[in-house]
Amino acid sequence: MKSPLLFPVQLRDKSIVVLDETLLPFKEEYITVTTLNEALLVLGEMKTRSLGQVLLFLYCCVLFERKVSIDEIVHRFKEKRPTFDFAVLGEILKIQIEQDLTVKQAVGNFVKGFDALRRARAKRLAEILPCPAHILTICNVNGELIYLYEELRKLNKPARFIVCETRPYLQGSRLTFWELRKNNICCTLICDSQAAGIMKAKGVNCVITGADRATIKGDVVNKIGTYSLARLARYFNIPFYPLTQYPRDIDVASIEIEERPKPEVFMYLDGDFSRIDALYPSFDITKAEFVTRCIELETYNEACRYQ
Amino acid sequence: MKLVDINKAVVVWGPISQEGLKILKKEGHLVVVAENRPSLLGLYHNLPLLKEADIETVYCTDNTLGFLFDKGKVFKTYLFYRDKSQEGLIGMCGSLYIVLLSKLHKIPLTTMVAGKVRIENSDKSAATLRGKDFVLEENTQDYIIEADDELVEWEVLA
Repeated sequence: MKSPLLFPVQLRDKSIVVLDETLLPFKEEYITVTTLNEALLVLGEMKTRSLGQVLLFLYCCVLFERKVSIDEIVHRFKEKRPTFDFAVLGEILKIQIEQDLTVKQAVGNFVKGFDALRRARAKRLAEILPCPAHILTICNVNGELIYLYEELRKLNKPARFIVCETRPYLQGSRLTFWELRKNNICCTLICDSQAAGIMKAKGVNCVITGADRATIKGDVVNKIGTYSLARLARYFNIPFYPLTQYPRDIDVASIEIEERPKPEVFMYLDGDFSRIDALYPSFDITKAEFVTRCIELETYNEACRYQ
Repeated sequence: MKLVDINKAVVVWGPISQEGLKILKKEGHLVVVAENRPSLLGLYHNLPLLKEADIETVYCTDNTLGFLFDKGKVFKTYLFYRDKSQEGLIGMCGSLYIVLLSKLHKIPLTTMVAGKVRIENSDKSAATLRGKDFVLEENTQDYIIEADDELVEWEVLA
């Protein structure tokens, strides 16, 4: 089982190759990035996101750190996508560099370790999910649901995914549903607002989402629509499990919620909508009280125990 | 419009009626218009009506509403329903979603009979957006749930 979304950004000799996620599922095309400005353009235009933006940041550090400091790269990335915690990635790299690793070695270790951590997280999550698992999800977690499916199969737990389309970018339809179906995994696509109806009909028994940010208290910031799923899940007594990493000891209210340009609300629609006033906060906040349990990444050493 | 610009808005869900339009006009509040997938009735029915009546609006995706409620940006929800039954109100796809989110945020709900819909849209599920197919599978009926009307029971509305 595989998905190009597992590693949507890759490092070549002197360039970075980025899967253009906005063209999926119709085209699987890659953009070659050779300068920091090109990387920032790709980031700002949402060609990549989630794990892709992590990899893009790390590989920019590898290619451009002789000209631009890691702190400056953090700053430039943060300007484009203010909600995401690029600073924590910079800190991880700097700790490794202090231990006499090159940036390239540090990034290599991080990427290799991250995949092992994702697999280990999927295994831990599979163990606590019900049998059969009817999983409601939103947006896209870069192939991690495929890892989860594999782990559920090992436990003889049948699984079915119910995917919210995730307007306006349709990451649910275009990415998650696509990668699951590509791997012949049982899944169903719904409109975002159908979530309450399917919960009421007992069509799902758990909710799993990603998390762009998390606090040590268990608050999460994720794709817009996540909060509503968490509230509805609590109402219907359905567990809500966000996949979190690198939680910070901060007040979640201090995290800036990125508001994207209003034309993006009309993504994939033809027509002139320039005279319509629109609003697009691209993330929302789910307080810890609505989270059943954060499924965190463990340390690399702990992950190795699972292999 | 940015979040900071919204202070006291109302949300509409379902096809606005002429009666509803008069009330919204009289109240004079900013109206949050959700797109109402899959039909996009918010975009192609509600927005033109509100614009014609010179009512201030802001448009957003359906999944934004919970966040607006949580942020205290909305003080009332209008649900335009299609029919009544012994069990409750029958509204378009997503009616339960909006009613429950309103209830969970203690936002008062006003229900009114829906208006006549002028638009035509072939979208019946999340598989298509204005007829464009976003699902590459051929037999999509195996992988989608068509967007039927939803029953919102009286207990939920109470």
